[in-house]
Amino acid sequence: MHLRSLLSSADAVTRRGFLSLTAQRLFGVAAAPTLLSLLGQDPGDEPIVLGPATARNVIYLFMRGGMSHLDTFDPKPGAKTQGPVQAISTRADGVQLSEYFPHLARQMHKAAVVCSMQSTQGAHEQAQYFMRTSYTLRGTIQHPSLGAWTNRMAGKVNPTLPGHVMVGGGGEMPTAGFFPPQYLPLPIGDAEAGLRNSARAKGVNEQTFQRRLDKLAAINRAFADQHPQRKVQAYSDMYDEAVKLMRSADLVAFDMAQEPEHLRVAYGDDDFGQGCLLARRLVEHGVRFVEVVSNGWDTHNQNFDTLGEKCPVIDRAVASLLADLDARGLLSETLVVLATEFGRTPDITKDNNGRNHYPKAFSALLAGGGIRGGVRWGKTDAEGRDVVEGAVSVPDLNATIAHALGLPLQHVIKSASGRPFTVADKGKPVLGLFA
Amino acid sequence: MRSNPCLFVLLTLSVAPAQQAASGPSAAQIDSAVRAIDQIVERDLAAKGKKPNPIVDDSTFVRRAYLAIVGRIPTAGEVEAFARADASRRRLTTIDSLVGSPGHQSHQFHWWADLLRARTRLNRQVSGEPYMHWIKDALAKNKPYDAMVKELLVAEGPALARDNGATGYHLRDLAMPEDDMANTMRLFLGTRLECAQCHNHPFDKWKQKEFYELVAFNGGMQYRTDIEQSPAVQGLRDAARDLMQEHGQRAQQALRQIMQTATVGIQGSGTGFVRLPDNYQYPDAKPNQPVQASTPFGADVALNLQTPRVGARQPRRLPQRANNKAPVGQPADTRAAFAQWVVSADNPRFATVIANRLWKRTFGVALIEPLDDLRDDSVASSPELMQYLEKLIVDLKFDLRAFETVLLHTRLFQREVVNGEAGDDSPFQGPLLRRMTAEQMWDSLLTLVIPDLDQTLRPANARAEEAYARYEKLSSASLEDLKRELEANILRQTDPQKFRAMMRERTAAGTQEREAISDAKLEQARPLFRELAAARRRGDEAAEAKTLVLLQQLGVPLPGERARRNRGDQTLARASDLPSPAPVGHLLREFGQSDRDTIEAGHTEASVPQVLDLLNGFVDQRLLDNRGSVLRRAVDAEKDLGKKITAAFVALLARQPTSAELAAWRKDATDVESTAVESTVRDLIWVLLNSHEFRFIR
Repeated sequence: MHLRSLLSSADAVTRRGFLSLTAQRLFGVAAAPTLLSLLGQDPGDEPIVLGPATARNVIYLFMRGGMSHLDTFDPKPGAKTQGPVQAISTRADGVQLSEYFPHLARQMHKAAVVCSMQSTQGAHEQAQYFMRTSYTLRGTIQHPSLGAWTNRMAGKVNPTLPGHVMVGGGGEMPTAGFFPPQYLPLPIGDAEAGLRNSARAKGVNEQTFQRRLDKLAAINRAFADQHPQRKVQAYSDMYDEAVKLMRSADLVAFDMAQEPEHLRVAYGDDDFGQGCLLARRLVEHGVRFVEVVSNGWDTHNQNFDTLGEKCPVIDRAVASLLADLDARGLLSETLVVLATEFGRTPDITKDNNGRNHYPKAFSALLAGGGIRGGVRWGKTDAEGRDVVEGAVSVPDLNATIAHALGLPLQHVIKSASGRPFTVADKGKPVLGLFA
Repeated sequence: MRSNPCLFVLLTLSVAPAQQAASGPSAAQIDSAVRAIDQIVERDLAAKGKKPNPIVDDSTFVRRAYLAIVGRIPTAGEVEAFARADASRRRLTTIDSLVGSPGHQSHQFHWWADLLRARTRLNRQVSGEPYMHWIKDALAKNKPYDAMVKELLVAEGPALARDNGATGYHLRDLAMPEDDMANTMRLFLGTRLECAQCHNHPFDKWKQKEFYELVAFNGGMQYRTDIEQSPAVQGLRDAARDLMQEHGQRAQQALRQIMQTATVGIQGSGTGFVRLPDNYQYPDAKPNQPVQASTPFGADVALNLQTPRVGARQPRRLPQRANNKAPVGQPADTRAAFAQWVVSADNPRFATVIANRLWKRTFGVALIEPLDDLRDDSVASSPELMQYLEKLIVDLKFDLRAFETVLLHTRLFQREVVNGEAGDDSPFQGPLLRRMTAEQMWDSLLTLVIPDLDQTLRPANARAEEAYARYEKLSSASLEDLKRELEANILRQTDPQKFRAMMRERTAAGTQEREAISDAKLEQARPLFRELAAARRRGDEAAEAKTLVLLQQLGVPLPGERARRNRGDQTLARASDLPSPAPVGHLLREFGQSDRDTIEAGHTEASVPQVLDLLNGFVDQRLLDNRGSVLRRAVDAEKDLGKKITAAFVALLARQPTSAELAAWRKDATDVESTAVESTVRDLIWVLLNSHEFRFIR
């Protein structure tokens, strides 16, 4: 490719204009320095200087729909808002959980509970977007999610595997925002099924596959010679990378059959449990940011019946995840975050036995990756209505995660139209959570 | 190669004079514009010491033309028909036969859906299908562009009422009037103002106050219609009140769900006033002060406003809805005045933007890049051409079909591609080499599976009918019906399983009036429906197919239209007949279909999932293993290997294999065993589908 066309494409300022120039960069492979990486990280942006990191990977567990704080991580025994759910003690002094979490209680010396989360968004879509991006939902721009920021700033750990994976969730997924599409998470619908189309089609053996690839390479080479364009080259490289992935020993990261039965049972024979197990496998193989989604937390009706079904699933999976990561020595480098878009009203609706949306106070859980265990951060009042101590905003939580990863919070990355953005939108990391 | 007689006939029939509006431009007008454009382009090239690229051969042309106009590769029959047509005129007659066809409208729809952010659901509760129907209808009627824009901007009334889909435009930015205005200015006038939403624009001249003066045109616009007074609504409220005795809050919630369908819409003709934000920081005005509508460039707009009797006091706010400030001023038709200003011939940017958009769509690079960030000092790569195109689109009365026809008729469209990048400002030697869009890719793959694909397109209103029916039912329902609806909604909350069963029975009963099915059968079918849903969720096509067969054997109607549409499955329907956007994980999304969240969010970049899908998924499952597919039938019908190879090349690449290619593929099956032939055929199809030549448009 000619220098001139490289530079002119670097100047392009369409939304998709800042695309990497080779598939190495599309994949985030730092094999050979590209022209632009020699010129600086990206056109128009300062080089990204990472700070000291306490975590390398993130497993982000998202309770979609709005998880009740009173019935999970911020119980208020005896309060009239508490309802029928009891509180239990944990391995951490002074940290209580609801009775739904007996397994997690035994792991609480590894985890910190933030009881003082606050959001400004009270509708699902807006609140989920805010949690993931730290910015409020606008019609004019899309903001990158934290997983996209992480990979954009820190790069991939394993060059062959994707850097950002989303397990479950079904509906919409976190956005790459104004970053190039390579920062979109790779969606995995069903943990058990693994990475779609990553195995050869039925009836195609390795010999046939290779024969086809050879013929393909020949015909594509002729085309690429005739049409020396960035996108053509990117496709040639992407085919190489995809085949490399198919044949990579790392593909085993997606193969749940490798896990012993007892562990699969311990995580729970359900989508979320197996999703957490897959997440562990993925970070083990160097996927930097994995999100696992649990749906169905919007408990306007029958809050207690619903949570009675949902919480044991979470309890089993998260407790197993923490124990498993710890046993493998991965917990120190993996930050596990359990979050939701908002809490639920302390007042229980009379006729539905439900709780409604409540962004004023809710809880999150953080563990590993440099986080101090056995800690309870912040406080709500006696009825769980208001944060009275150590408030943590949504950008603050994301800044805390970014801080653990060593992402520079001040570093500005501009959108295609030149608007400046920073990871976690000026949130302040909760330094007291770190060991 | 045998041609498919059926396809040939279809094409011949459709080679009628281009369908132009009755008052459309004459052939002479089109021709003179074509000549003028080619002259300017070639003069520009000469001035820069460059030569135009050579004219492409017929097979490159026919593939390019079909992809550019109807958004899919041509079938073997269409390639054959082209070859047989009068060589002196066939390029232009082919273009004319395709422009305005249903396939063309389908292809145009994706472009508009990306620009207008058209979604199947405007939000969780409200269908966006009427909005999409409105777009499809405008394209079918070739509604002039200025009329289209005006309708979108002034739309008013219920969103789900028939023929009122244009309301979807403002509803895309529900309760975000500032974003709405920033999007409008960008989309139609190529002016980027979103920076000025929060502060004076750092690089351009715009002041925050100027931005709010624009927002003021839509002042007082509401996102609900006012049908509170209608007897139906009153009756419904009374019914809900009665039901509250028994069901409490749930009745209230059920009522809200119904009301949402009934009341969503746009209301208010515009007051011409809006308040500045609370944190306004510049000396030229005070925070919260109402500002009056005014335009930043172009003609002045005469308004008849009543100055509101409000000071800088804090407006009333609804809890948790910071945007929802109480309106300022009285209705004064300022929205219509704004729309008129946008589309006016005096507006210097309106024609520039659309002319550039269509030029870019046809040739890959706009004359001004980026085309939606125009500044006073923006200079087109060819100022003469830009000026000509602006004048042309005005002279054509914003007839987009005619304008597109002019561009397609140019010599430039027939030239070999350039291999540059979208940001290049080099003169136009030929169209830019581009990857197919996601929709072109999907529709091209379908062309290889489903015969007569363009004939399978559904009517523009098909997907919207359900929303209309629901709205109409609610707005004209008897009290008894409404009560039933309420009760169903309550059941949805109390016993979702029973509710779904009931809905399934209703759907089944509705589609199956001719052939009544027994309850027992439905009972038997229920686990199969569950299995079907699970298989589709898993993406397990084998299980899905098996279950479908079992259901058919049982004689139960397949899950209704609604169920199919809402699922994330890969129904083999034209992209414009699928949900918009397609669900995450769909091939369309893998290939970069817009998520419709921001303007022009689609992309054509390579990604791991899309490559894996072509390597190991779609090709083998839907094409190679599907003996009924168009492609397999065409190849299998030939006995001779050489003819099989030719059939595959024509079907996939619209060209004959070169003698070297033919020899190379023949060599693979030298032994006469049929297994070798089959394996060669499979290899060939697989390789061609994965090739650059397939996904790039030369």
